[in-house]
Amino acid sequence: MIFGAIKQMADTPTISIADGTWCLSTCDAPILLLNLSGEIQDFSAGARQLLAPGEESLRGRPVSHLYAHEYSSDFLEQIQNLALNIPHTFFCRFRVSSGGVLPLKVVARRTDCLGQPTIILTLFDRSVEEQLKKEVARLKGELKLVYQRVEQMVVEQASPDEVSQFEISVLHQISQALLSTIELNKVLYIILTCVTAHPAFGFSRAFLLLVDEENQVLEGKMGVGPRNVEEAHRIWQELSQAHWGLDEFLAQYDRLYPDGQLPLDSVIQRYRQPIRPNQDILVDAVLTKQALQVDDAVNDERVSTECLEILASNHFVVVPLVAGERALGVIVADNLYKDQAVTPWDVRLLSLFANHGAMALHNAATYAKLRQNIQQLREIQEQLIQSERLSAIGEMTAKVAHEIRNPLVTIGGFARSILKGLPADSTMARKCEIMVEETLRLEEILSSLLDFSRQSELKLEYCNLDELIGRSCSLLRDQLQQKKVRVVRDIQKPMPELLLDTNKIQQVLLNLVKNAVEAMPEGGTISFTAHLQGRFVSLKVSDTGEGIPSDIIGNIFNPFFTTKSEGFGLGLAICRTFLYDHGGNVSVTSEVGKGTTFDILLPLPSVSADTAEK
Amino acid sequence: MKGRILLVEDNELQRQLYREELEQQGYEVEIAPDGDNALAKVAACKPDLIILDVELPNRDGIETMRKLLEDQPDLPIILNSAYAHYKSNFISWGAQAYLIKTSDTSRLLEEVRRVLSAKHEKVIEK
Repeated sequence: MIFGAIKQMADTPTISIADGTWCLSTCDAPILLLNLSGEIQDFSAGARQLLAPGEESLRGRPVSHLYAHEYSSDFLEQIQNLALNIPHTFFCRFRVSSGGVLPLKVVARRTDCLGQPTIILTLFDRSVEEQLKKEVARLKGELKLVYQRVEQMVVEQASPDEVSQFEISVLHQISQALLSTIELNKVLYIILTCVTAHPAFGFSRAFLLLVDEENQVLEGKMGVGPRNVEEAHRIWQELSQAHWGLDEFLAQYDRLYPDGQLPLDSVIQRYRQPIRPNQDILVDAVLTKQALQVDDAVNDERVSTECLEILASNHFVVVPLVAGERALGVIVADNLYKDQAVTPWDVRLLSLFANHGAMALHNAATYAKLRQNIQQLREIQEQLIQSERLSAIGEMTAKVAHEIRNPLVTIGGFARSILKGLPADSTMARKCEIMVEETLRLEEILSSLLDFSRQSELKLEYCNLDELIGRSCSLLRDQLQQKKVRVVRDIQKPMPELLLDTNKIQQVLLNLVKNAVEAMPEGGTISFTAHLQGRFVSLKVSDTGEGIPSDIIGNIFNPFFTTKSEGFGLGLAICRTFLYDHGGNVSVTSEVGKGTTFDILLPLPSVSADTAEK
Repeated sequence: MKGRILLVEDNELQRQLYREELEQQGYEVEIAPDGDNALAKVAACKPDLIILDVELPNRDGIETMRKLLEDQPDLPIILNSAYAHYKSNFISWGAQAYLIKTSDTSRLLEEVRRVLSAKHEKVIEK
């Protein structure tokens, strides 16, 4: 969690928040911790500075003593009734030790600290803002009034304290939001919204650029924020009325951007720079994996003219998104419409946040890639199912032709031998001749109709056996993982390229692997070993499964022989046919309880070329 | 005696048919009903030619042929199958011929004659 990294600030007192530790006493942000009766249990340095400078302690004082309002009891009641872990914002006035009254925005959150129900109050000083309001009021009626009001609204929403004071609850919300989705665009949007949303960092604009690893360029992807001053004004006015939390901001994604295009996408998508030193400051951030700050872009040599033209911002901060060892991209954030400097505190928090975002981004990218792979696998599987169907039909036809031809051979053959013993021109001889001729005619019909209905043309191409095996196994990766089956490959090197119909040989391998997985319900190992053997490559596919009983092993390649409740028993028959088509072969050895080995012979290219010629 | 032939055929009726035809031509015929049996018999029977069915129980004709040729690469083999598809594929393995089974046994007899006379010529050359 991000707070784990902020803990190196002081010793005591400390409170435990989530799995990190926040050192309150030296924290600049004004924070009060209350018990449920409203007594101050602990406070930050910032809170003492704001409320009671010079005094030793606020500890033990009832928070109600600080109220400057007559209706302060309502306030106590409100915070006592807060739902657990949901932040709530109040506007109120506190009396300070100097005797003055301080206008404040208070974000209250009820939580558990070290097992104690605790209310965390984060205070935002609104006095500057209030003074400005008075100033604006004084200038009312003057010509520049409209312009000044815009400025004032901008300042109202982003007093320096607010930007530098990070709310504890928001960090939790950010991490929850990032964990909530693995869709790449949504993660990108969450990252940018967190950077720009008022309850979080509250930058004016945020841009996200990603590294294209293949082409080694940094490319703009997404931008969040107003397009111009008018829009900034309008948005802030809406937001000041809405009092949104981060959740509400994030929930706007689908509503605001139904087409998935954010208003500033087109701005940043113009950015595309090669990743090499001295190119541009955004690229530098990728290369150095360091956050970089620009306070005067126009005169900063690190900022390229393209970058300046695209961002059109004089001060901004660049933080890299680093996951593991790699920078996946950068976030650029600026305060273009607020006209206020980015502080080191902003940079520091943004960097911490960026690490978190990078992990989410990395996960999302991995997921997207995975989904693409799964889609490809699905398509290949569809094709295989289709070709398996065709093969099954071919196999059945061949089997029918075979089954009919065998008795015809016997009938016709014996008729012929009878005919030889009969006197020529006898009635019996003529009848016998008819039998001979009719069987021959049937044989011819078989040859023309059935024998060649099976598609046996091979689409031969040179291929790498090791790759072919790898591809077949990856198609069945889910099944292999699920059944805890390990795959071992030992392919003799160098192995010449083979001239094969890769689809058909892949189907053979898939069939054998599937059978092997089924033979190992408790998991096991499938090993592929290949070596040259004369004019062939011998590929042995072995499993450590239950083995095939000796009384059925002679039948396993026969069409329609099966021991399974599903399927037609054509799998191995088709395997053998495909290997025969290549001029190859397959044989099997098995030992019950130990495993089965299929020994495939694949012809080396000169042999398969002969076969193809004939 | 014109020559000794080992007929490897699982179909009993066809065994009978081919045997009669071959014996009528003066050949001596030994029978093996499957591949294993053929491998077991070949050493003792020393055939001049093997007629080998492809569809055989236990060890098919192709595998049987591979084993036979491992020991005797010059052994003449005629593949005789009711399957038509692999016709061209196994010549490269070392078979002298691949025949699609037919009731017209004259084609088989002709092939036997051709292969044996070729073998004979080879022996004389040596």
